[in-house]
Amino acid sequence: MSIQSQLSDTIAASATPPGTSGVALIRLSGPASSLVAAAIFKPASGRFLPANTMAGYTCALGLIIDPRSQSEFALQDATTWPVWTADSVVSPENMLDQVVLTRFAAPHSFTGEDVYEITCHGGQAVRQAILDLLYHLGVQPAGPGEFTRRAFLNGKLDLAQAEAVMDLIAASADKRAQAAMRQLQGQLSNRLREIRQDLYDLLAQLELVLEYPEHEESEKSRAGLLARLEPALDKVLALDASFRQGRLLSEGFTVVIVGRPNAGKSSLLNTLAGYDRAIVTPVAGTTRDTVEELIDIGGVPVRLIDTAGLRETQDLVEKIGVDRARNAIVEADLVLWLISPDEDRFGHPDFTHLNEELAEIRELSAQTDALQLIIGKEDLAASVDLRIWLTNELPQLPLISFSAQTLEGLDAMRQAILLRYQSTGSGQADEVLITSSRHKACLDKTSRSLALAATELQRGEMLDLAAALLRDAMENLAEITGDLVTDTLVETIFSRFCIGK
Amino acid sequence: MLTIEQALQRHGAYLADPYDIAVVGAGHAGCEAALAAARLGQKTILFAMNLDVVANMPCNPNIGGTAKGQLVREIDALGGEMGRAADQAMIQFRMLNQSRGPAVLSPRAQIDRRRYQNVMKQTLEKEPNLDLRQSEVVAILTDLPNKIDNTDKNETTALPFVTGVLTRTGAIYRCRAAIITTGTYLDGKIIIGHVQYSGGPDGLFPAIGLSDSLRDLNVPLLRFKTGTPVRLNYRTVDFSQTERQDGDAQVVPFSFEHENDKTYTEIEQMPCYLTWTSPETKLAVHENLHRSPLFSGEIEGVGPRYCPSIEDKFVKFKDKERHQVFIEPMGKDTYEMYLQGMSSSMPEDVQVRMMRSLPGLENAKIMRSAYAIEYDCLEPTCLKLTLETKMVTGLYSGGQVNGTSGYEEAGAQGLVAGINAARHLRGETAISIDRSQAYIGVLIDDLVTKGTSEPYRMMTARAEYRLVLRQDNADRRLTPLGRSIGLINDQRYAQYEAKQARIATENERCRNTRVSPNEHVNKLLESLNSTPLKSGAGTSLADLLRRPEIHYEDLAAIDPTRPDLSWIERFAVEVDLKYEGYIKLEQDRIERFLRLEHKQLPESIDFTAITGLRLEARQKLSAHRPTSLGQASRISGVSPADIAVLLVYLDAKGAKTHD
Repeated sequence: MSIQSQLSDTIAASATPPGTSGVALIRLSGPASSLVAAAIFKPASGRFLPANTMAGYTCALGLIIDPRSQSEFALQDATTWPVWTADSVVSPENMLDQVVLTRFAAPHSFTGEDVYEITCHGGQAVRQAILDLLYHLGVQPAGPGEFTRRAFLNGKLDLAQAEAVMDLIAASADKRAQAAMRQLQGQLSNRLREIRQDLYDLLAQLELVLEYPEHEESEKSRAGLLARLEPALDKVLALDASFRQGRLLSEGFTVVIVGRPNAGKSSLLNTLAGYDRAIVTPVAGTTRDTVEELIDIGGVPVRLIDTAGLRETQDLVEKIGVDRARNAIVEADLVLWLISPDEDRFGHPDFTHLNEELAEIRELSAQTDALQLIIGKEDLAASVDLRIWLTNELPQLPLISFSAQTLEGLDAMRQAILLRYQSTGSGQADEVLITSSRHKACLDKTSRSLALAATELQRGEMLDLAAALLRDAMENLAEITGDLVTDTLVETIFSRFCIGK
Repeated sequence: MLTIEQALQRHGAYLADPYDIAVVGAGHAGCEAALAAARLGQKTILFAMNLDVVANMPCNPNIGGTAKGQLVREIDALGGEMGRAADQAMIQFRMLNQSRGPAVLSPRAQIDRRRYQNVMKQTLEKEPNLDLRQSEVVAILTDLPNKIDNTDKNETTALPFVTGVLTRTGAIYRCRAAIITTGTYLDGKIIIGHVQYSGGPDGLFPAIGLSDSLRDLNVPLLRFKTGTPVRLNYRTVDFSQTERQDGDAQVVPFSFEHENDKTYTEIEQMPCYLTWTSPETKLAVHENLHRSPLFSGEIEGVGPRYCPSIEDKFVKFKDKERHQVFIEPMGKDTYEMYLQGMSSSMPEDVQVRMMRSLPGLENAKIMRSAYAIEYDCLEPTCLKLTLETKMVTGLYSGGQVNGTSGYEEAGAQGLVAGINAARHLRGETAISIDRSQAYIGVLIDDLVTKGTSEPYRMMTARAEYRLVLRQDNADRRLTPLGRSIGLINDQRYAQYEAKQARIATENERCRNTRVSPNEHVNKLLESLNSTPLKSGAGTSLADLLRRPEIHYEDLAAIDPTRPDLSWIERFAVEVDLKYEGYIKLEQDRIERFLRLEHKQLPESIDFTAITGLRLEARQKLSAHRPTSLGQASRISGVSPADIAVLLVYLDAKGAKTHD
């Protein structure tokens, strides 16, 4: 392979998320990575070898140098590229950053290729300068999920593991990192293979019945089939049920704030997000759209969604916002309903819209007990009528009075969220959890096929169908780990990977 | 490599009549291959070691069974001969798996083996374009293209090609294609206890020499083993101690042509008998294990796991106290019976002791001993999906010599090899039948793509799309193909179309015929343990048929206007309706399967140069040279990740050609 094509097959990207942090990681992978690393990394002292002669699994302290100003350097001719040693003399204006360089020699790296990891300082400018240099030398920017894709293609990961890596990158809260880590280590894959083995044994027994109808053991085997299917179905259902817990860990516990635009939702969101560590900057959207914030409450990743009001509107943009609000409520694990009554023209509170909103929330929300009432402190104090309305209309509903100024009610809200979290996701911490909706969909199909197979086995007339359903179940399970690859599967999964891993 | 010129130098060699195609071996594969080739206009010669054993059944005297019955129907649907011949020699019929679903429902018949041979031999003799010749072929003659001009380094044109065959008596038959269908004859060795000798099946001579010729042509060979039980005299059996097993009242012929012909549906049947091994049988085995060549290591060939010898059964399934043994008739004009389940390679005296330990057989007389036979066969991954060898142009092979077992498997391959050899000579593209079309497709793909480490037996479980590959719809799946190949004549095709129209019409009629909830109807439903219809809620015949507990026959009483259809047509109507939803799901799966199957791998592809493929995959792919991504995915040692790489590679290549 020519150096040019080696370069074009070498990729680099930042492996840490954008934004300022203490340190950042840039990953370089591919056949030309040692050539490139040697040309940009100058070891700090004689204790460290030049980058291209470093052993795998070693690291070195040194400087990132821009080689382009060297007199003999020619971009098109890689033989002119320098190999920096500790003794090389470099003028200060060509030094970009002090870094730690780690080498992972092929095939013992994440991607299976020659990999270098540059741990640089976390400023956006520094990081960008290093990446620009790499790209200028001919290294390609990594496409979305490219590193993981290479790892998968080089046989380093199975599909479930590859997806777990993606989860790991996005994971922020501890529990979620643990779940992702366990999946990465193949626990999910192992559990799935275990179930598949059960099904395989069962299928083998069924096939014996079908293949050798005149065999003496045929009738006896036939009788025992159903008893063997049921435990396998239970295992699938248990794994399937872990999705709710897994999804909470992976996508965050979803808390949706509803209420009218002037009810003080934004200040509620800001207070919750401001007090607790904000993990991600707000997701872009118009002010009339939903606004999302991922926060950490007591180790639980909470996806906090601020919605537009639920009111019918003619404004097209606002209409979209209302639709999104409705969808958010459907998916919500907890709805925080912030109420603030209108006043009629005599200055008395008008509860018409509150009744409408309540009816709508109750209709949308899948879980009827997932509603938490929040009332502005000022409103509550001001209105006796409001209290009367509440007592009449919502006698059972817990109520928290909240003030953005004094932070009154903040702890109560955090408690309410945690309480709700604990009551919804009560999976065991050491259990294997599924966290991806793709896995969930496959498991759903599996359990459906198995349930149908059980019906056929019970009826006992069409064992060929039972066998077909069992096969179907096994194929669906196998699709999770990618033991079978359909051409669409690979495509779907890789398009979901974020850049840098 | 031996050329015609070189062969002519041999003592006694002479040029005999020239042919287009030579078929070597007149067993079940050879007969189908020769008939197909001749019927497709090729001047064909079929060689047999002994003309008295054309289409012989040296093992079990039956045709069909699970998956095998489907194969026979497929052979028939394509225009092959096995089904027609079997119908003429049938002495008992059973439809297996009656209560286990249509996908596994399988016809199986006991066959009068002499009658079968005579029918087949006469069919061969009558065939224009076909000559039957008793002679042993000892070498395949080949030549290299462009012998003078060596500058052409293109690998495909440098392959040797078939020019003729040489017989033991020195005859050189020129031909342009040869089909090896030698069954278990190649360098055959018979093993009975410690007694071993060079021999073919059924006391015949082995074929010596052809193995060397194949090796010389770089065709890789394996050594397989199989076995057969004793035959005994009916008159020496006390049948009062056995369980009589009669055939079905409803006989369903194998061939489409005989479906409505009373000559074949109303036959006189012979019973089989069931007995069991006794503690004495087990003792006889265990006391003599040291005398079994199987356990002393004298047998080097690999035997089939699904067809273990009786000594194997007792050793491997220690907990089982007794095993089934069936006593089956071998024909109408003979008292010879076949003892299914007692295959053995034990010494003769042990065979006698074991047989006489079975209830009813205490005084039985053995007519032929059980034996094991070892033989050479081709390593089937050296074949293309067309059944042509990858090493020699025009050299095809089919049947047991490709590592299979069973008459039906052999016939199916022989038919495909014969068709493709003829098409090759006619300059037409080869046919290949995929896994979603037929058991034949599953069989050949398994063999040439995955290879086999034991004699390969067809099983319904090997088919991914079993609900679609049924015995009742073989004609629907394959007769149009048989027609386009040229093996289905006008008359038969018209009959085929009429049958399909009858099924379709009856299907429509069932959908459109309303059943109202009257007392008569509900009484019938109750008698079938089915929910009665509510008053006012009428339904269609089709909806009633969709109920699992109701069969087409059951509804005759409330369906006075139904047409007079054959059993197989009635069955097709019922299955089409009852399984409609599932069949549709399977069709979806087939469509997904075909997407990979239709992704062709270019012939010029260099697998060693594709980065990202694991080394093992590069080697395996280079060696197998699969023609499609689907086939590649089934090669052992090629992982899903490798297929993903190939997908990416093909996409990238596709993108480049679009630029």
